[in-house]
Parts: sequence; structure tokens; C-alpha cells
Amino acid sequence: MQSNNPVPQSRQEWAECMELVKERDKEAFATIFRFYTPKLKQFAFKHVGNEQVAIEMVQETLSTVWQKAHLFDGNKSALSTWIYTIARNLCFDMLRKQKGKSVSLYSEDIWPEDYLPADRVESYSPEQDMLKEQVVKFLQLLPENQRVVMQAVYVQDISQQEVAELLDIPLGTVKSRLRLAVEKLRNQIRVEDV
Amino acid sequence: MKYHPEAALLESYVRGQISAVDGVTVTTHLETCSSCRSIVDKLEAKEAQLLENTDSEYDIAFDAMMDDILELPPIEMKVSEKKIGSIQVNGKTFELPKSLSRFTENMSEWRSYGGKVFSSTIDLGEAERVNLLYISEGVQVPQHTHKGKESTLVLHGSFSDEDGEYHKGDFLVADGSIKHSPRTAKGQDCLCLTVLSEPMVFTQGVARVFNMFGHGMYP
Repeated sequence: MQSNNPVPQSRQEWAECMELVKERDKEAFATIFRFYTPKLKQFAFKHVGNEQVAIEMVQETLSTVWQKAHLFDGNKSALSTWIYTIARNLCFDMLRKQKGKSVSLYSEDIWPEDYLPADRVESYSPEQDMLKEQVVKFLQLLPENQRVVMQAVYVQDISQQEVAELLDIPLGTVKSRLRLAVEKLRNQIRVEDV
Repeated sequence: MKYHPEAALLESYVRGQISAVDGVTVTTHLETCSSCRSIVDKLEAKEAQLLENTDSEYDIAFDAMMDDILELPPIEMKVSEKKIGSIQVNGKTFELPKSLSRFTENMSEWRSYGGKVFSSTIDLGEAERVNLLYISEGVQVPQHTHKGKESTLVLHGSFSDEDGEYHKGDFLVADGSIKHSPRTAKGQDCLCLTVLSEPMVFTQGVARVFNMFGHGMYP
């Protein structure tokens, strides 16, 4: 496949490129693939010290980018950081596997991924999140007052200001209930491969 | 919270060059420490920048790999309830950090030391000895020193020693040169995660008999 797309120059442009990848845009993926493949190969080689294994790591990393693109959140991290952590974690597990011991600790135990960032409630937008519907099912885990606020803001798309007026509570209370609710959900649910 | 992992440990965590057990200890600290979390975020961004800036040229031979990848379907994810593990010791129940919740089945029965100090070994299949250590209120643990390195992370409550007072989230590393005798205050118990590269050696008091049992009779 020939790609004539210019290489993105900023975090914002890379994030836009990823939005296209989320829609299964092959050209956009090719841009990322061509940019990162040689860099990842050097990175992986430094870690695993073997050309063939390094190439496997490149393939694993970029497969993850393609197959789990919907989990990338441009508000939360730069694309480079997302790709770096994927490659680091794969290399970590590979190195331990290579040492031949039976392993009960994996990279996901050491660098767990949280898909509900508590400190970014303001910018958190589950409507863009494939997982939203599934998250909604867990709202029952929340105490009543937090559930009502979550439902209004994230399910019914009512602004935080309007929710405050509807419930006749200060805006600060709406914000703090949302923060507590997201924190609680983050603690109580996990996201895993099917 | 006043005691944090050293910068070098956070760096090796970010670079993936940390031992698995230290990695678990650090991630447990990060669950409760937003300042270390933000250091880690910055270090990750820095490492990512190094990756992004690596001098390189694309090798057209990789196109075949790309075509293979493009055939792969998206991986669907499901969301399920995360289980927070808990433990019972000395008639009390404690919630475990998320990082340890998966390992409740790897935890041994609690061993009691005079009904005041309790320990449970977490078998993570690694070389280090990983324990949960519970010290009930108003207890003085005999002075001891370590061979090797001991990391301690306070999970609940607090304890103190000759050097200071440690609260939930505090992370300490002691090496073989430090002799210390932890104690808990009246009305204040303490649950810790401890990681020992080698068993402790007691330097004082009745506890010296523990040394005679060799490997890690005491946590």
C-alpha cells in the first residue's frame, strides 16, 4: 500500500490519525506503522537482544495498536506514550518468558491500565467510548446520589450546570459526586479481552 | 504520606527494567500516591519521546507484516466487575489494594507470633520473599537487621521506628546496614506489604532464636 499522507507533526495530529485508525482506516494505520516500525525495532532489540524476537515484538505492538485502537484516548496520553507502554509491557513479558520460568506476574499486574481516569472527569467523554454501554450496566454499583448524577451527565447528556439546577444542588457538589462515582467505578470494574 | 520510592526505582519501573516483585510494590504505592503517579506519567512521556525521536528509516520489507496486521479484526473488550480482595487477620478485615487483589489464593495462612504480630506469605513465584505483615496495636518488634534489601509499604494504619513514623502509602527501603525496631502506638495497628531479598537476622532479644530456624521463620 502506498501512503502519501504526510507524517503527523504534533500530538494533536497523531491523535487525529488515531481517530481514523479507530474507523479502520488503512492509510492512517500505514502512516503510524511506517513511522514506528523501525523505531520500535531498535527499542525492542535493546530490550530482548535478538533480532528475530525484536521483530516479533514490533509485530505484536503494532497488532495491538490496530486491534485495540478503540482503547486509545488522545486526551489521556500522547500516541507515542501509548505505543511506548504497549511495547515496554510486551518486551517485559517476553523477557521473562525467555528466561523459562513459570510466571505468575505479568506486565498487566505491574502497569495496570485504567480506562476511567478519575482525575480527568471534566474531559472524560464516554460518549466517544465504545465501552460506554457496558459501563452503564455498572451504575447500580454506585450510591443513589452519585448514580443519579452519572446518569444525567453521561447517559442523558445533560450539562453539569443543568444537573445542578435540576437537583437544586451546587455545581461543586455535582462535580464532586461525579469524581467519586468515576473513582468508584474505576475501582470496581475492569476491562479485559473477551 | 512522606516516604516515596527513590527516583531511580521509578525510572526503572517506567523503563520496564524493574524486577516483577518491585514492580508490584511500586504500582501498589502508585494506587495511593498521585505525586509519584504524575512523576511516572512524565517519565513515560519522556521515554516515549525518545522512542519517537529515534533515528530510523523505514524498511519496505515490513510492508508484508503490515498487510498481515491489517487482516486482523478488532479485539473486543468486555467490562466486568473488579473484585477487591480482602483479608482477615486478628479478628479484623482489611481491603487489599487492587494490585494484590488477584493474589488472595497465593496467600498462606496467617502465622501468629505471640498473638501480636502476624504474617502471611504471598507466593508470587519469584525469588523475593513477599509477606503481608500485621502488627497489632501497642507492639514493639524486636530490633533486627536484614541481609539484603527489605521494602515495606504501609497498607493500613501506621507504625514508627527510630527514624520516623510511617503511614498508609509510605514506601521504605532498608538494606543490611540498618538495624531497626518497628513499633505500633496504642490504639493503632498496622498492615504492611514487605519484600525481602533475604530473611531477617535478629540482633537483640528473644527473637534471636528465630535466627536458629534459618530461612525466614519470621517474616
